[in-house]
Amino acid sequence: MVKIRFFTLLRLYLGIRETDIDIGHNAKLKDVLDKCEHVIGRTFMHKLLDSGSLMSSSIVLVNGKNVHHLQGLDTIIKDGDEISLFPPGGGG
Amino acid sequence: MGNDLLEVKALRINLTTKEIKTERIDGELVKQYLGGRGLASKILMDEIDPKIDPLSEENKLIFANGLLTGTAVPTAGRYMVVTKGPLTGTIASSNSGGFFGAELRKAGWSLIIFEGKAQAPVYVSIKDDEVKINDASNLWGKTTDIATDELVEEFGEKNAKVACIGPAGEKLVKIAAIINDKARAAGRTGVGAVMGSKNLKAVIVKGSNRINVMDQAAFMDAVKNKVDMIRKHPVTGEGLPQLGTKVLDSIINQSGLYPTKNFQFGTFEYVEEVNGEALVNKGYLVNNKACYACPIGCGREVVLPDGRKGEGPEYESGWAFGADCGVKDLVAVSDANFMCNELGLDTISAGTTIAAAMEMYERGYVPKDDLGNGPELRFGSSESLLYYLKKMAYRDGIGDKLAEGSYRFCESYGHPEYSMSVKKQELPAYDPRGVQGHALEYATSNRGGCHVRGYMISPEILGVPEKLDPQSLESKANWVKIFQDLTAVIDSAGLCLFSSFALGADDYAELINVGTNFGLSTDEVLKIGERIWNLERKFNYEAGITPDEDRLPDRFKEPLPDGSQKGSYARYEELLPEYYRLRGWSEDGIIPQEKLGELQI
Repeated sequence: MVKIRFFTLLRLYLGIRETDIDIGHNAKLKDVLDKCEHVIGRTFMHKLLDSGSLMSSSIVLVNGKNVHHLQGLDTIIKDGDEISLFPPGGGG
Repeated sequence: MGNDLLEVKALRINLTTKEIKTERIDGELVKQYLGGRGLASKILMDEIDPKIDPLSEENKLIFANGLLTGTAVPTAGRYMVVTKGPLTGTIASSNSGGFFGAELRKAGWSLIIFEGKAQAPVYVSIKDDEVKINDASNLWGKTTDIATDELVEEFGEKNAKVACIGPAGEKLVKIAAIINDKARAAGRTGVGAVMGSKNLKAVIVKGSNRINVMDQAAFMDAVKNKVDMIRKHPVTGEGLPQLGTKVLDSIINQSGLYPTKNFQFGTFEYVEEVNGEALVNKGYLVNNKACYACPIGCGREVVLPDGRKGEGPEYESGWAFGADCGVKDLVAVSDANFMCNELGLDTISAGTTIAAAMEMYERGYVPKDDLGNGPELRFGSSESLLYYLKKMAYRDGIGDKLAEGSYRFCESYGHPEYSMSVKKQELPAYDPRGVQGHALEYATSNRGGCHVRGYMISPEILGVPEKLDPQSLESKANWVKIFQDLTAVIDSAGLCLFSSFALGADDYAELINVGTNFGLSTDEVLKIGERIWNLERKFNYEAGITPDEDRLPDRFKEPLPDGSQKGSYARYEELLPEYYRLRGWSEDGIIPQEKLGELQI
């Protein structure tokens, strides 16, 4: 089981704060997010991806670490991990 | 009627003699410094001794529009206030949006240089070429919202724009702001106190001129192109319009950089009570608000449950009164923001100073007797937050010490190490231990602790223009230098830094060139930024601010105790030698004569 947490515009867009997803062994991030879309019955990947790739300004954290510095959408997700999703945002 | 973009005119107002002069700024100087921060810094450097007391009559206070302020360029509504700062002793410059700057430009004025000190409170009124110094004794003591309404009524032009100080500026509070359009602030570096020291309560302006550019058709094509880029970018086209700057609360907290309880921690357990999502879900946010010529509209119009209305809180203000003070009550946080706008206080420094006082009190360094009859200064207390903000603005009781900012407050009790400041200015809402480039930016900022002199959060956390590893040191010194130089250009062009989420150096060069006949390459535009950066550094050095002050509080040498960056500490000292080398400075951080010559300073 992994916890997926939605923040900022995704939370407002989906109206959901978080959900738990069962995953298989050696699941990749992309597969986990695909499954999440199926489970909640809503799509959200288009807010994070551009032409199938993670936008540099999308923030996807696995246990607080940005997947841009792990293996991106191929990052291996383990049971008990927490995934935080933020579409592009900024300020100052 | 119209006036040309390159007709850069200044009003020089001597408040001692009441003499008002007009000047035209030399074109070559405009090409070298553009306007706003750059041009005003050059004028200040030429006209005052950097060693003077910032609150003395010898200091000058310059309101300076950017080169493009008041034109149709997206976000071209910024003006800058430049002076010697009372909080830091450095060159101070603080910019603001809203509509005041554009109105001043439409009245024909790029700069107002205030000199001397009025014998009694005055305000200055400007209606195109008609400029007057007026008695302000009936306005003195009034909050900025009331003073603005009364001035507009007295002036008789309902669309006139006002920049003024509140009680904090009048009382020479070292973290006082200048507030324009009631809720936009030239907030940082204590510029409001300098205005107060001159007995200048307000400036009201109404302009009626159009600004002419060299090739109007080409100019508007470029404008349209940049507006499209801003609207299509996910940050400026969706994130900022929908959630404002408070889109950052969750991002920064989850990234472990959300300074909590005076930077003791990197995450706030009650962030969900005070973040941008809460502002929407609790129903407080009623509308977006945009500054002049802005397609982003990041401003927040908020109505609280009891019906009170105001603008904000923005990310920085919400954090300063929320997590930094341990306060989880979004109504109190919003109230504190409204109160600072009305009293004329910088929200970042005010919140961070209260947070430092809370830590000092909880550690037993501030005696209970010093609080008078006030509530205990404890983290999490909304009552304390609001009570001591007011004390600070009026220098009442312990507020007299709080009004000096966190460094002098903590130092007065023998523990300056609890002031989270650089060069005596309070740090904003990012713990530098989790972002190594941003830590270097904090340490080297020419106006003290500041996030908008080279916003490294953008590449290190937000992935714009590309994602950098926040803990890596590789290439960070160079990134910081480029960001600092580019930011100086944006500030001097009169544009909002948020435009830089969507636009790059080439775009700014294009906008500057299309409105003028400068024909500058992108490298030449960045060289202007480098010139401005070095000029500011030179001012500081001559003011007695040495490279020894390119440092962060010792707290940041200790590892972060919590969050996703747990165990990280600030490593900017490892980057300083490379940064000095890239800047062409000596290994001690001094600017050599050859560098000044190269930059024509």
